[in-house]
Formats: sequence, structure tokens, C-alpha cells
Amino acid sequence: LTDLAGATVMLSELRGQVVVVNFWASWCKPCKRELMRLDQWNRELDGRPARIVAVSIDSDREKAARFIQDKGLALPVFHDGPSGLAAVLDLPSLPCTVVLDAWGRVVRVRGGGDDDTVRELRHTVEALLENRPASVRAGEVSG
Amino acid sequence: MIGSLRALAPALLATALLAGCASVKAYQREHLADPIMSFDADTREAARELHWLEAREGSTGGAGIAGGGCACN
Repeated sequence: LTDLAGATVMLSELRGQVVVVNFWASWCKPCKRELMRLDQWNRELDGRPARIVAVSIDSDREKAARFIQDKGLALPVFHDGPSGLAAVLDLPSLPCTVVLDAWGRVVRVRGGGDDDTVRELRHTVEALLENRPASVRAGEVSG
Repeated sequence: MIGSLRALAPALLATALLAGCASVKAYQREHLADPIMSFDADTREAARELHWLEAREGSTGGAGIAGGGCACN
């Protein structure tokens, strides 16, 4: 992945933390609404071993950067384009969020961007942080 | 020979037309979500009109397609 400045970043650098990877695009209105919620949640996670990262699948990195700058979002945002991870994972919907545990294993894939989605994602992450088994099967796609 | 070609023509035409059909994944809909893909001549004006209509009627939805083609609804 590349960050919005163009520098290459490896997701594996976040190993050891619960990572929520949100796929979004500047042309997807529900994605943008969800991103605002995730940004707020990411601020709340400060100091805990969990991170939320957003991956833009816009073809044009500038469009993603403009939105992030306009809204003053603080969560880490990367750019990957429509033919990168999105195609490899064959995302079932957009927005789509993947929760990885501390070992980098996919625990949950959740489509949608409404309040219920974020609530469920929070539940999953809290369960992982407390070392409780998440209430969903690994790799389950819902939403 | 010509008769059999005539009989085949509709099938060949249908094959040629349907060959262009393909499902579009959610993450491939950037161009479809572009306002320019709307049927309205002036998409911004149409959006303003819809907003005004929704405010007047106290309801939203039910107009046009859902969302921006991102398959999120």
C-alpha cells in the first residue's frame, strides 16, 4: 500500500495490534459517512493495541487526499486503487471492512457503512482486545 | 445455405450483443458512480430538486437508483 504522500507502507508493520481495514472510495457516499465514524472510533482507540486504517480504492489518489484533507480526518489513510487488494480480496461490497487479529488473521469481513455496521465492528474488536473469542466465524462475510 | 444463414442470424446477433454484458464488481463502479452517468441533463440541478422535494415531503428515497452504484445498500 502507499500512503497519501506516495510512500510505501506494509500492513505487517501493524502486526501485534488488532487492525480494522476499511475499504472506501471518494465516489461512494456511504463510505464517506462511515469514514467519519471510523475516524472518531480511531481517536477513542488511542493508547490501545488496535488501529483503524482506511484504504482508498479511488483510481486517483488526489481525490482521496482531497476528501481526507477537507474533513480533517486523522486516521491513517492509504491508497491502493481498484485493482489492488480490492480485486485480490474480491470485495463483496463497498464500503467493506476487514478485521484482523494481532497475528494478521482475518477475523471478520463486514460490508455496509451504517451505525449497525460500526457497532458490530466495535463489538468484534472489543472481543479481540479482551481475548474473548469473537462472536463470528473467521472470514464470515456479512452485511 | 442462405436459408440456414438467415435462420442463424438472430442467434448470431443475440450472441454478439450479449457478449458485451458483464457483471460489475462493487469496487469497479467508479465510472458508473460518476454523476455524468446519470440520465439527467443537469445532475446538480436534479440533486437540488430532489433535496427540495424530500424536504417538502418529509421523506427520502424511492427516487432513481439507490446510492452511487457502490452496492452498499
